[in-house]
Amino acid sequence: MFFQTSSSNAQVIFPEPLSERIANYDIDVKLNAATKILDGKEILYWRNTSNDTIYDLQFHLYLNAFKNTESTFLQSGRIGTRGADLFGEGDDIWGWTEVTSMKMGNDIDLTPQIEFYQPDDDNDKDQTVIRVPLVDSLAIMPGDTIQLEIDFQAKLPQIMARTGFSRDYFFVAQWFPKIGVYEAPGQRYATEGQWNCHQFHGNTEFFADFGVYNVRMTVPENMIVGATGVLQEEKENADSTKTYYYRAEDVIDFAWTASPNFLEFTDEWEHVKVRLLIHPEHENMAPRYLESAIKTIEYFDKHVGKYPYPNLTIIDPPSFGAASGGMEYPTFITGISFSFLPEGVRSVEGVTAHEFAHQYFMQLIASNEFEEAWLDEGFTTYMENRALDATYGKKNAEIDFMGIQMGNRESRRAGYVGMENPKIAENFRPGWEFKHGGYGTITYNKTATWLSTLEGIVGLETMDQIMQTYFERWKFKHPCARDFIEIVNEVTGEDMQWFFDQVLYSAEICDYKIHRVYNGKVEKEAGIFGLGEERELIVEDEEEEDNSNEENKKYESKVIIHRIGEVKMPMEILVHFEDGEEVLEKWDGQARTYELKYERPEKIKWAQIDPEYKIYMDVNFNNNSYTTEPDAAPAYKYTSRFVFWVQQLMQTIASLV
Amino acid sequence: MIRAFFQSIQKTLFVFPLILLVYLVNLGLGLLLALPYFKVFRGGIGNSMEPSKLLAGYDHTVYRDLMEQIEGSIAVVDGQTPWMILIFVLLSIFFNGGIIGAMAASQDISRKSFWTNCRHYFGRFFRLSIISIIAYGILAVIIALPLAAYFKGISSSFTSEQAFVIPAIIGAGIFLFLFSFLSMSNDYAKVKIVAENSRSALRMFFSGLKFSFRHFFSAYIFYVLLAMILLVGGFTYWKLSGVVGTSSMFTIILLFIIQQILVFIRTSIRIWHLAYASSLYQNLQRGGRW
Ligand SMILES: [Zn+2]
Repeated sequence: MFFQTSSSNAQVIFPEPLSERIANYDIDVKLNAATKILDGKEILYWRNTSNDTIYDLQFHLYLNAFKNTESTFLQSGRIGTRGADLFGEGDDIWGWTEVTSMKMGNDIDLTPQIEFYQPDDDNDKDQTVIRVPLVDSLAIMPGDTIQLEIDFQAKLPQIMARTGFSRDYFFVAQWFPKIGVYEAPGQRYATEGQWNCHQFHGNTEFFADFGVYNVRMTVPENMIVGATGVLQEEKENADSTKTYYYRAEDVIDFAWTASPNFLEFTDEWEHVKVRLLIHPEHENMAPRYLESAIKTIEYFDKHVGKYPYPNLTIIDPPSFGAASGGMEYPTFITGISFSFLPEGVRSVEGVTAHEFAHQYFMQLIASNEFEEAWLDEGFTTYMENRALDATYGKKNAEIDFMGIQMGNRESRRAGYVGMENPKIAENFRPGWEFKHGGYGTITYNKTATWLSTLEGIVGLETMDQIMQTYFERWKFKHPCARDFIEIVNEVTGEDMQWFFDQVLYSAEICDYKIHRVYNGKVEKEAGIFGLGEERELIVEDEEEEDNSNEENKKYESKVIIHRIGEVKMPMEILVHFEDGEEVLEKWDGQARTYELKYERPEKIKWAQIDPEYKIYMDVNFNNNSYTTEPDAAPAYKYTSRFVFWVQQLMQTIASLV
Repeated sequence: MIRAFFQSIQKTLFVFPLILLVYLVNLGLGLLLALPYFKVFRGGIGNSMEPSKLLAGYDHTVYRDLMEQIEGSIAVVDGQTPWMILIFVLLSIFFNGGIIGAMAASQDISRKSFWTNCRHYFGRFFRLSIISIIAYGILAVIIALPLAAYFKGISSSFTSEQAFVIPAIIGAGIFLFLFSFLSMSNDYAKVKIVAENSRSALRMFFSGLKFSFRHFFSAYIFYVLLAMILLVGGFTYWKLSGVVGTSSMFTIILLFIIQQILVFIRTSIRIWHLAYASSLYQNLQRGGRW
């Protein structure tokens, strides 16, 4: 194969390629730990899998987002960016990438053709995308593989958003010139062949094709390195440096880290070797990292599909490099920890499970993170919640500390329904179009919550089938919303478009309420009946009523339901009568108001909409039930507690002055 | 110290009706807030069955949905709370004169002399309170400034969060010690204001400090003892509330009674400290052995 020349000593990971392997990189890079500069030589083998003849190339230079304040990232993206204040002190806080030379084959120099390009906005100061027009003779024919030799230099920024350095800790991500994705007509939303190569925005992440990476990283010899893929070779050099050679197959990205302080812990689950590189001050967190990783791998294997890679590397950043924590790269994730973290606050576990879940929704199923972040972040959150709640408990997986318990799924829902404006934006919107907030909660929490609703409607087993089918069909590919919806329709055998129209393409909320339960005596007919001669006055006979025995006594009872939100969901309604009888009704949820009516010897005691909480996105469960005998005890409980604490506070302050 | 200890128990028992008074005022003000709080909470529950899940324990979903509904109204009650606390603190300063006066006299606890003493000392005690608040503020600044400077200094060289957490814990410990010492000496200042019938709160503030320094062990050991009793009480409550639970109206009432017993003990302990301060001062003034 074409990329074996420089990698002849590599061990092949997958004898049969798992993906199309469109974008393949051989990179030699040297880190200067003093200047924070990377000197890189990249050979890119890129294959045109479309039927188009392509007349230009486009690349991401992500690090230029940190070049100056005028980048689209720093202009647009304060909301949602991670990490510390970039505008701290020092001259070396900024980061950049420069392509110093680009050649096609070995000799055709493309460097003069390189131009900065802004497909998403008109910010001509943004340098996160370059475009290289090709003359006709160099146009890339269908099926052709081109070989590009790219020399580049990159300066790492001080870690602010995921990548960079902090003292002697280096986290190197989005660091090399990375080719965009060429989308042929019909692929995702493309109507004509085009590059999908977005600028780096504050809210958005990435999109890339699968390929093989052979990366040789040269670092000072005291550094310990972790990276995407599998270590092939470790070599000491004469100049007190060391070269690590890693190879990764069928992945969409390559990131690595170097620090002299890492401690290493390992564990394994079946074919997956888990390696944790942790900073010494967090050593006590190592078992928590490893346990949660293994549990999540196991859960995904059971409910989604097989993790095909032989290993997973987890990086625990030092406290001074925390802004690189909580991020996902192929076979390589970063966590966040704090040495004093109580056991009942499961954020180490939560982040680890989340980032591992991204191995499925981001890496294996490589959706476009710029345009449809809900497909990676939302799906990740949904499955992460499931894995964590299953492992640590539905009601205490996230927090179980000092009398406060919450599960992951319910905590995500609370985040969504508790938004100041849950209708701020619909899910289906490119990341950079959340201009006035809501990106995080809508993308992560709302998606997870409506996926739980889908799970409620179709049942857990069918939901697993949906996820498994989606995984099997779209792994190593780039699906979009339509593709997922098609799978839902196929697995359920129903047209579920109505569901997605409401939850994905609309910002409306779902809220049903039992307005009232009435229990009245059945009224006997009274008044004037008949026409002309036959006209007759009927009077209710009081005496007869009194004589009627208990069995004849009847109640006319009603349950009145209001639909408050615009989202319409079919549902069940459970009606409970005083004699313990229960009736489970079904309603399509369409009308704005609806009533259930009964004539029975017993009154209705209570009624509840959606008794199994299937419509998990209902923004208020509290108004879903109505009892004729409401219980004031909770009010007494919280009031007495409130009074107790106020009294204590009064006493405390009074005793001080 | 031993003698002062037993005398303080005597004195505390002696002013028992006053303890009851302070407790009832405390409870009364609490109940004034309880009324609107209960109304809001009860209104939020409406006819829903969900909130019953809050009885067995905490349920995040139910609690958040309920709060989402009543947050605004609860905030109104929360907004009234500081005022109610302020009223209690002022009343407590007012009562202190009567209580310490009764302890100093040891035999006269007539209603009339109590109210007279309350009025008589209120101005000075109020000034003393202002001075002590300023002193707490100064103390906080004295501890916080070097700590902040230290944190800033290490911000570019720290290697782990321990570098922040450990000094912060030490700082908090020092603060807690000095803060408690100040609060303790404050009670001695009050005793001295009454005993020496001094008009200068500021002079008595320093005089109280001086006294507390000079008799540090006999004063502070007792103070810590009371703090320990409170801690044990708090811990017992925490354990007990877990056992009793709130699953029914009966246990809710039972827990309320336990809570009120705890508040009453707290009130008593607070007054016990004043009694001890009064006894210790009297013993040392008389040059008695301690
Ligand atoms: Zn994520």
